[in-house]
Amino acid sequence: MLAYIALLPEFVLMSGVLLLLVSRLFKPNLAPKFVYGVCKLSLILSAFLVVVLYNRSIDGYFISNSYAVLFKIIVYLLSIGWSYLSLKHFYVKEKAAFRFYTLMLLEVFSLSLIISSNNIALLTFGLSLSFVFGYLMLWLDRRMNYIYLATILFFVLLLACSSYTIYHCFGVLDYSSLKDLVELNGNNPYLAFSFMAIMLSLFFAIGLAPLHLCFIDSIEEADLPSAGYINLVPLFAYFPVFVTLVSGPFAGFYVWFSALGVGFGVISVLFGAFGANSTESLRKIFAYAGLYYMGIIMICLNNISASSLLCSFIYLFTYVISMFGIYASFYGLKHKGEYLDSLSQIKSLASERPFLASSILIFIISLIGLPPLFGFVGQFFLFDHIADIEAYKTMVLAMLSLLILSCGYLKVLSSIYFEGANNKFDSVDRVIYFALSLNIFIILSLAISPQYLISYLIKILAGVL
Amino acid sequence: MGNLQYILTAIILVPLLGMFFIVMSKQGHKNTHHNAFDVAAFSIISNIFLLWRASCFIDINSTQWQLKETYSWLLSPKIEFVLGIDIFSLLLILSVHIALLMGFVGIRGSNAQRQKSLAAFSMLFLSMITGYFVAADLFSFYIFFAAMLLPLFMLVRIYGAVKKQQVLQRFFLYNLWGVLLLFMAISVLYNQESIDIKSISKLKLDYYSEIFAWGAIFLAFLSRIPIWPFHYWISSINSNISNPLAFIVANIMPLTGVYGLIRFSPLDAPDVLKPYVFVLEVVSIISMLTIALIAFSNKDIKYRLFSYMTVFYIFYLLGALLPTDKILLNIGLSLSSYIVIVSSLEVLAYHFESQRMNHNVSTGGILSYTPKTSFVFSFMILAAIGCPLSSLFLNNFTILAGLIKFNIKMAAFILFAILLCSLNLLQSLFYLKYPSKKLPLVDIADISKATFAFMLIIMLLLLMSFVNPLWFVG
Repeated sequence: MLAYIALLPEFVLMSGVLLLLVSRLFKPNLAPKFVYGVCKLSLILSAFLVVVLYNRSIDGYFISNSYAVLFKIIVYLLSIGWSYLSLKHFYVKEKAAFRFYTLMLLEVFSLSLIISSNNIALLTFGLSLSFVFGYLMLWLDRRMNYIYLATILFFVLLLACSSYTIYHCFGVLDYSSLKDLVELNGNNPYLAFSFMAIMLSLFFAIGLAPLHLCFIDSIEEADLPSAGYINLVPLFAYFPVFVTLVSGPFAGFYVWFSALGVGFGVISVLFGAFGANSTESLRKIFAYAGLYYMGIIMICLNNISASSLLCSFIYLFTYVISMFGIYASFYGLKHKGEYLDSLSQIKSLASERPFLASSILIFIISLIGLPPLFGFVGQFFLFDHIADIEAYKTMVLAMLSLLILSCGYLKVLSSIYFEGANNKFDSVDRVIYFALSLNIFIILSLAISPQYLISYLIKILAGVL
Repeated sequence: MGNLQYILTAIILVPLLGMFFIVMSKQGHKNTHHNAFDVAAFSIISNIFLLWRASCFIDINSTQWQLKETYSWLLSPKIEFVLGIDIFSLLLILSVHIALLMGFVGIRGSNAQRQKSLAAFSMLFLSMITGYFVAADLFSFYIFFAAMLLPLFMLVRIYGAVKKQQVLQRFFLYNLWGVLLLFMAISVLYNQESIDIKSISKLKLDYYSEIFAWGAIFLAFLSRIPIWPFHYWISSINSNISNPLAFIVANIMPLTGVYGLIRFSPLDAPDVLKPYVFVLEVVSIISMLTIALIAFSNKDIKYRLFSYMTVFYIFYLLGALLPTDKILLNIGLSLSSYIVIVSSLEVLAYHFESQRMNHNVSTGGILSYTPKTSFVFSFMILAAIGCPLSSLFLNNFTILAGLIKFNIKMAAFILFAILLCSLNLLQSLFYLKYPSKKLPLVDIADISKATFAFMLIIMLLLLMSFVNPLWFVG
């Protein structure tokens, strides 16, 4: 019974959701600040409990080692930060904050389950919840997207089938038993099917091409808080889970699956690079850029080793930190209360809002991987690894694609800095400036001294392998 | 030497500090642009003083890095930033500082738009290029090679008057491509520890890695030098830049390519690349001749200056590719004077071009209105073509002798291109000084007394460099 104390952080999150629901019952128009307060408190308390209850596990179901704690804390911190930035949106737009913050808590709950799961059933359950809550979040303020709904349902069913198949055929669900099972029954088609189903679901979750289409369109159409959250935070749950599975229970299958993973990666890199040049929508440009980065990480994970894991995680960090800054900047791009999304709408931003424009410039430079910013650190580790394994064709592909992607970034910079127009912009809130300054500080200081981050990651990842 | 412990870091940081003060200055104040330029000029002069201080402790005869500074960046993998200086890089840093100071002096009285941005990005560029010249290990070399791209891009875009989006894209992509190529090469060469760039050639690599790495290195540096097929970006940009400081900055970029090739020592490049070096030499000579001939038919002084710069950059590149390292110091001495002379010519050309536009007159005989400008301009043109007025005279002669010794046919073409460029410049000088018809009565302003005094100092420095190029060292 005492082992279930490991679920206390998740319990706190659900309590926060319950509190919001009950409050809504009594008072339909809840103030955004109250809703945000409950959300923030739940997240902070939950994060605190995650740290305190470190190494508490429920055998065969739930694990809370240093690896899981690290990524849960990152998810919580990003969620706290994003919820703070989003509050201003709800003040100004007078939209109901209730749905967004409630769904955010539910999403964090599902991500937390995924990260800590040590059981296929719990993993598939968590993933399914994550898909559903993510869809509901993106669904806010727009017409229901039937294709996206159908896709979500398809993957939910696929996940359910995979865990049912494993349980029905072999009677085990926990990772350690599964690992033994895979080693003994490497050619079993049911196991292979389940593995493929889970992998495809994770690829869909990460947003790899060609499973990315709904994701890109939804990011463009959804409101900014939802789009930013879904684009940034869940990656720190899906990706570690992917690594756990392919280095743990399904390591035997990954030997042949990695080629498919690399194929997905290459397609993502190309789609991302060309896609970013094909659109005038800011969010779509950066969503396509995200495809490129995820694709590169997937190519790097062709073989699972300490080196490939370390470099892919560092690259993921650099990508998310820079992209967080970009989305925070989007909060500052407003005209008469409406968020701006098209390149033509942000012309002459540099002359009207120089700090905001400079921030976007810094984040883009970091995303390209030019020194002396943190993005360079990630790029260096990644390409150093590629050079170590002598994958020169991969290196050339990555570089050429980055060059093409940079054209998309160049369009953004040209609009901001060099195209004159009489666009006017609303004044930027101090909160946004603070968030941008903090982000830039993090990027610069991690670039100057990345040693602590890297040694900490090395220690954490040692446990995975 | 205890008080020189971090002098190289200081030399990199001083322009950054200047940039910080420029950025923090208030916008909209009527003296903002003068403040920005004065801060920039003060930063440059302070840095020149620091450079002179460092030069007092440099051993001219040593080929090793001196005044070394090491900073640990990562423990695993072990990566350190190493800074060091030798006489070659000292000369180039000094000349770049003087060139940028020249640019600031030249535009101080003008009403250029967005002058705070101009000053700030110029300072950032100066800091990055200084770091590039003092980088002693592979890692820091790459970082500064890449980092100077941003201020250059911003300067060119703000002041380049480049109307076509495609031209700007090409400019950015060519340079970014060079950065990425060098990054690829470094990823291959890097072996879990910092590598001294003077030891690169000693690394043992397998066949494919060697081709990949060295090929990428060559292409990365060549992308900054205006030879075919990389010439397009610089010629497109130069035809549109009117601001002299932006022009100077844009035309210092090829220097980074030449410097990079010299540092990575093509002398030690693997044998498998030698045929490609020959192809490069042929292409370079064709580029030189083409641009010199085009300039012959184009009377615009700015284009002739651009062609002169291109021809001489390629000349130095070919000197660096010779199978000897005995003339490298000569290249450095010649380059340092060359940069200063070209910057002076650009500032003067900007002055009389702006006067021409203000008074709506032709440039023919314009120098006859402005004795001070005429005097300085004539001196610089004569120095540029190799008259015994600067270190260009003896050192170009030595480089040419080396080229003749190596390949007389190639040297003949090079000499022809140089002579053509010199003729172009002399013809321009003649045209500007001596009017073909009676001139109208207009009040064309000469350069200010302060600018003239500064130019006289530069002329004196050039003359001293002719007598003893390293008079300030030791």
